[in-house]
Amino acid sequence: MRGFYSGLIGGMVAGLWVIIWAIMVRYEAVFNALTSLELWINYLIFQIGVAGILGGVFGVVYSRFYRGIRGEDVKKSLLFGLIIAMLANVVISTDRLLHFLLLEGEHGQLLSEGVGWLLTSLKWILYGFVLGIVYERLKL
Amino acid sequence: MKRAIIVGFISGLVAGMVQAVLSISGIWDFFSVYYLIEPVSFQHTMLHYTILFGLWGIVYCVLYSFFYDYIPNKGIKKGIIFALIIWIAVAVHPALIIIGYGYPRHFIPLIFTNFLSTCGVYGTLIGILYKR
Repeated sequence: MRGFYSGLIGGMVAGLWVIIWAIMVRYEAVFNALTSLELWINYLIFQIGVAGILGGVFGVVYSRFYRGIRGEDVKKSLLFGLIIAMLANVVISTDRLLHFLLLEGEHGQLLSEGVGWLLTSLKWILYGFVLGIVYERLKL
Repeated sequence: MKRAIIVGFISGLVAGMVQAVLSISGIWDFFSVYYLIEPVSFQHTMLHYTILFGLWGIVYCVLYSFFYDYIPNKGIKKGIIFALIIWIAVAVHPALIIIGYGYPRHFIPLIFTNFLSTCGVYGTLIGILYKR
């Protein structure tokens, strides 16, 4: 359960970061879709809840794979966060890129996908950082 | 490492073909009135998913070989458990985020078809083919 609780906290912090980031840069997709206060509250609960639950699941995976991950202390969890970032963001990015490339011969998406990937990856890198601190230092 | 690359590529190709067939089949329409982005041909879908699954299949299987000793169970079950983790990160996570924006119909079929191709086909194949 230590992995689950650590991941839950890490995921909730990462979910909160996504909302703060979306507000900071006035992210279009969010601002266009969320037109009322109720939708915003919905979005807040959903983002933090989903990131928290998924973070908890990945926290359990982290505790199982713990000895197999290289590095020590927070470096270990940061590496794990990077792997999750790759799976959660880069795969779906290549999916979209391939779709446009094959269908329309479109190359222009590459840069925007790359920048988008960097920003969204920060969520899971932050998750890895918080996971490491809670898992190693607080030992819930 | 060489074995992981070959097994990952072959399993990915087969899973990609299954994903393409499922995407075109009525299963998708059963859950959604829309295609993921726009209607496309079978050839395009087949090429898209075989490239995507083939290339990422290699990466997944290399990760599988790294964490092989720490994944519970043996044989096929081991492969399916690993594929389940991949499925949660790759399909469930982005789908839930988009559903949060209020577009559930686009992504519910993706979660379902991806479950069958990733966990059902890819996981089973790496479980059978990859041995240390």
